[in-house]
Amino acid sequence: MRTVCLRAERLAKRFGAVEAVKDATFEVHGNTISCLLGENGAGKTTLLKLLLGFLRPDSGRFSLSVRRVGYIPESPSFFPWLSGVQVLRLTARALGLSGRNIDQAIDGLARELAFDPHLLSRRAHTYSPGNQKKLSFLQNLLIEPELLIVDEPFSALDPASIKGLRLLFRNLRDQGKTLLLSSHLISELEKVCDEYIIIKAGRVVAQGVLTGQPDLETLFFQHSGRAG
Amino acid sequence: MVGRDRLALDLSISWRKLLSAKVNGLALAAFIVVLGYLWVRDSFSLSFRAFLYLHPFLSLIFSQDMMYDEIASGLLENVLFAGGRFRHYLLSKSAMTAATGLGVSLAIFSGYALYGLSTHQLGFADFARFVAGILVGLYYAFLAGALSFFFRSGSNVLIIIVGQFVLVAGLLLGASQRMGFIERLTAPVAQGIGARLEFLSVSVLIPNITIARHSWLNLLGIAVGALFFFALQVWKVRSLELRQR
Repeated sequence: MRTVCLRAERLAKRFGAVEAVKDATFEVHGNTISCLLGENGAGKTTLLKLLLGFLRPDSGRFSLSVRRVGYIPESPSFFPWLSGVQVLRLTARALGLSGRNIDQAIDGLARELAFDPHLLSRRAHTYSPGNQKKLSFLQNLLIEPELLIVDEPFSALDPASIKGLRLLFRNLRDQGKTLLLSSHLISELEKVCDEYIIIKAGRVVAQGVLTGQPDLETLFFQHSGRAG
Repeated sequence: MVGRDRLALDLSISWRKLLSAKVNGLALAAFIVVLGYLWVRDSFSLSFRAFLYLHPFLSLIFSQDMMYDEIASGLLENVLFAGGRFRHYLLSKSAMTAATGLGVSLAIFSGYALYGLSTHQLGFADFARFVAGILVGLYYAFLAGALSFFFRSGSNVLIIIVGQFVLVAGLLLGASQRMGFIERLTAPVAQGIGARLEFLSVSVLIPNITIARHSWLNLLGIAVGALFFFALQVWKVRSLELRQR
């Protein structure tokens, strides 16, 4: 039987006259890579922010069966007064990792993400968008999240990094982690995801397991009401 | 993350921010140089008086750029602050900034106190003035913190300084029309409840004047003001959401 890692029931969020999320009900199963798919402005990021506690839902609720949740925003930004290594050390220390373990973990993860370790001594906010994204991945992998939520995982990354990222996602799933990826890049999501959640105008209109038939693109156009 | 770890993380980030702001270091260095100059060129007494009346401004300067930019820039949309932990960070930062101003003032005062007590140049009234100054420093820190929800970067501090300048300039320029008011304001003791309330209303914008005339009513007014602005920050932070970047 599949375990439920995250369950959301009738989540709703309104910004003034705009209903950003409406009665969103869905589940994310453990040890899977799920994608949250929707057009620009469909409410994906708002939904993620609700799940992460950056926003408060107007109504509805959600529950998590895991304690450690990671989050990589679409465009991560860092305190201008912290270097990359300070960001990582603060993150690690907050979670009780000791000095030598931190540096070893950082080295290993930087290699895995093809992140230039020389950058770490520089202020993080001076990095290119792609490297800021990689630093955010490093920060999150350091805390070993049981559920990793990634908003637009492939944005700002070069093709080699995207390929490496797909491998990383699969490795994480094989290690028993759960991933929720939010994007509108169907072709990239299809290569890594096991399950899908389609959101349209703030409402979850479909969710299920990806079997390849029909493919994600067909599913998306079927449920989004757009011609493919 | 357990509570103690979280507090340590929040304080560590806040401390690094305080240290990295060049204006904080410059203001502190300039303040110490001015005090030293007055001591050497004039007297301990003048230097100490300058310290008493000006040290609350350190708390004000340390409180620049507290909330708005960090909230609006997306800096808090980090895994470290997920689960609503950004609220804890913002309040910890506010408290730490106020505590830093207080700590710096206390450190400088202890130097004056050691010398002043050993040379019998300090009395109870000076300690009372210092305590009044500490309250004023806390008032500034929490007022600037509350304003920083609405004003970008250091404009929360600038607006207070400009307000003080306008008030003083207005009083000076209109001195002939407001002679009675100015006399009541500068009198050693306020006569009657009306004069006390007048004094308190001016001290809302220029709280340093309560250091000179630290009656219990004035000190209570400043303490209530500091608590009010801290409570305002708590209320704003508790209802805060990270909506947009």
